[in-house]
Amino acid sequence: MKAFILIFIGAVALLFGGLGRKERSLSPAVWILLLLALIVNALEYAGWHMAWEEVGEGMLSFSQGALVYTGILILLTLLGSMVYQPRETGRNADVYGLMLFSLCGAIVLTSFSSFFTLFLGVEILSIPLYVLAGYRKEQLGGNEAALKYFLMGSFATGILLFGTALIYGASGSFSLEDIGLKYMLASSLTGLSPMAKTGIMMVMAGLLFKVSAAPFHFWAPDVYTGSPTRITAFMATVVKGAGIIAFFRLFTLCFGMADYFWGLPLAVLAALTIAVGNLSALFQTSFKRMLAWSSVAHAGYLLMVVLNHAKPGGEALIVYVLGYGASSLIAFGIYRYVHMQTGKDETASFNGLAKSHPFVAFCMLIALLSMAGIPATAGFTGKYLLFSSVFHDYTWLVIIALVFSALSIAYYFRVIMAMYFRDPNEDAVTLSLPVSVRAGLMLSLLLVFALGIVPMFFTRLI
Amino acid sequence: MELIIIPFIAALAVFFGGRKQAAPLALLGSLITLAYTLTVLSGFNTDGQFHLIIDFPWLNNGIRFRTGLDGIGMLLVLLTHVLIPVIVLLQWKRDEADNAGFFGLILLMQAALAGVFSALDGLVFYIFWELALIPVWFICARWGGENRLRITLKFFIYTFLGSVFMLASLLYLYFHTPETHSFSWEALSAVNLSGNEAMWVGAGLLLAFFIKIPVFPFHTWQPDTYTVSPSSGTMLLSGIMLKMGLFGLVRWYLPMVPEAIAVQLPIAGTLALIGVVYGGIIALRQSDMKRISAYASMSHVGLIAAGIFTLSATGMQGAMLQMFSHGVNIVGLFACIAIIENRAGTRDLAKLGGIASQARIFTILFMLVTLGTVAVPLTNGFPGELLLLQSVFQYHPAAGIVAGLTIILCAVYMLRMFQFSMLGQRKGDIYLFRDVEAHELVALGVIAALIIAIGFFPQPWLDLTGASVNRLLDIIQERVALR
Repeated sequence: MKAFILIFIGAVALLFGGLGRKERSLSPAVWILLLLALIVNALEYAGWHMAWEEVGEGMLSFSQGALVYTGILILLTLLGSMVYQPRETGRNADVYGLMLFSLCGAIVLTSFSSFFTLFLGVEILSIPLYVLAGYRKEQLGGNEAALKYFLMGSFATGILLFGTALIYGASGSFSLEDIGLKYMLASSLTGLSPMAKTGIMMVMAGLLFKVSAAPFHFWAPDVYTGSPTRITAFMATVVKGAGIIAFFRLFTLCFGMADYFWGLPLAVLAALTIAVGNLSALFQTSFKRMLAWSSVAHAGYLLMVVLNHAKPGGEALIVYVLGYGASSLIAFGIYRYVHMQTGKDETASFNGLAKSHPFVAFCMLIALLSMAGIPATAGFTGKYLLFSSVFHDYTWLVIIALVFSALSIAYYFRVIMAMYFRDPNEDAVTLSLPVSVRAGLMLSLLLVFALGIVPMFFTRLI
Repeated sequence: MELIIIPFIAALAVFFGGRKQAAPLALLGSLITLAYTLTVLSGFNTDGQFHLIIDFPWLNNGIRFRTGLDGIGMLLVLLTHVLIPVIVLLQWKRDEADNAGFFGLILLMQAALAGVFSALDGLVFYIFWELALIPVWFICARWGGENRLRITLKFFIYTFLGSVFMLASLLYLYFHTPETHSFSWEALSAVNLSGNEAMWVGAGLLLAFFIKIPVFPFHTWQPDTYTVSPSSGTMLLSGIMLKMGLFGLVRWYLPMVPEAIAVQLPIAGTLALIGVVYGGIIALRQSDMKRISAYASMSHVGLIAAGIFTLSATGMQGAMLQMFSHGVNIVGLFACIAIIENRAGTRDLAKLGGIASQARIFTILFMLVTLGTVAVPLTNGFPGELLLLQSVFQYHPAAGIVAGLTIILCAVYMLRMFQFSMLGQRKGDIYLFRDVEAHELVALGVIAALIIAIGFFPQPWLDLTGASVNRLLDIIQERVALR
């Protein structure tokens, strides 16, 4: 909670600070702010003034788990702000401010305990993003992305609200705890009313949209490709992470008892998402679009966490959100710098990168191996935890996911082969990355390895 | 544990050591590993139990990092650590800009292989199994020949696909261990499954191991990959990596699903025998020396797999000995082919000939490797193959006769290869065949010494694995009898 307040104040200050036009000092200010927020959050986790745990009469509740998720999202934003050195456009104060507001929404989504705050969180998360997607207004793709994201996003929010209203109608409450314990318990004997069933389905549809799961994923490739890359990376890491955390929280605390009703449909949709994401990624020539589709596939894997709402689910969420986030930051980040140099975005622009930039290529290699789920990286631990958590109930889903993750190697390795086994192009890139970017890449890399090699350190947190 | 850590540290040292120091550092690292292995071996207790156990929680209390060695594991760790210095030595003269990466990857592979052979926890086994794939894929795809990218990607995806089914099977077993589940070998092998469950679990495991070995009809990745890979990659693949599949059968298939083996073993054994004959016949018709060796290897490991599937002490012991011998022989064979290719610029039998008159020592060494592969008495191929054929014959005489064809086929294609390349008219006057150089002599000398040593004294090798094999068979028979 204190981290939330700190970030909020920081975001407001940044918006006003933008008047001063001191672009150079902006990034360090953001790093310090996020680092402070991370420390404050860690202290709160360690038991510093726990009296604030319940906020606003049961609106937000910062349990230990919520604090861990908050910490993960702040950490990912911090790493992102390091890896993505902003161009000097004169708009960076606004961009950072909006990103921090969006992060505030994400933090609300880790800790909401009422449908009110769920809705607030979703909106605080999304509205800055609609702006961010098109902040480079001279670019056509960005405008398209922003408009598409806005229209589709508000439509999904509408569905979410509609579902909330129906659930309120059926249960008479907005509180997750009341609905989860009283209403669901009462209706476990009589069965859910049709109104509540429709409500759950609509809420599910709204959230599936937010995490870009099939069949509500159509916006994702276009928006991811069209947005500025640092915003895409933010969407793929923090926004997606927050979405799935909210999904997990809602369906654990509130609808957990009714999983006989929504479990199977969700499992089918997860399988569909995995299949669609991986198959489409296989046929992309643009690297960014490939990552966008693979991010759809990862949303499918992540949905498994909702299907199993026991404790291993929470462990899986930590490892996967953090691990996938760190790998995405690396992959999108390196793509961004290569793209800035060459202006191309097909896989071939990575040809021979290992010869000219061994460190950068190595970071990319590990990030892609992690996304493909190769052991000793975060991706494997995360996939293992996800798959094993639902293995008992949905064995078929796990087998589908395993086969498709074997298939995903084909498109991830295409990039690795370009970097390591092909000769450099004639217009080979010469990247000169600032120290902060290298440090950000290094930290993300360490995170990917740490999650893969000593996962106990992270899974113990919850 | 040190047997995994030392090569890993050596690999890191090589990666950061730079181009000039790469080969000496790699050799030093692999020799230290070998020396350490021999020390461990000298004090090793061959009572069939697991020794040198390392155990600490990894992901949670059920999933632990647990490694240890019994005789079977020790034999294969020994094979790995003996062959890696040889493979490094054969590349001694290599001096390219990417030397550090090349030798580092070999040592990384060594560490992962040692991990596979000593894992006592299902997930740790899986992790090392996958980790071993990455370095060898890099070696083959980076330094391979024509079409390498497509072929090695097929190889990678094919084997990876197999191993995810193994993971699914292991997970299934894991969830049938008693509450707070465990991945330990003992817990997994104690799981009682219904016949139908065991069929699926067993099929998943078999698929992974069959692809890796490879057993007919899962071999389609193999000949192309062996041919296109650089010689060190081929040696790693054929000498050590395919032992992972055979080892998997022994350690991670048979004790896991004894409920299914009554049904699955005859089918698996038949496939293995088809591979024996099929590989042999195709080897007869090839003219590329690497391809001949690839199919020969397929034929040989088919026989080893068949011996394992007889579930008899004879067959198992033969398989153990032959795994070691096959590793030595095939590395020797690919080393000779690499030398010929290096000197003559081709591996095509039609374009070779008359090397024997130019390179005496090389001819002797190549002859020895050929004889070992053909399994002539007093070479290392003989005792293992004898035990294997005996066990297959006892299992079923018809199977024994089919398996026996391997002796004839192998003699034909191996001697044909030797004859066409070494004897006859000197072809291609453009080259003057230099005899073996010092580093090649040492490397091939080690191979030759092993061929003769095992040929004359097979007993110490058999003693190393004897108790472990008996214990394993006891466990399986006990479980089968329980049902």
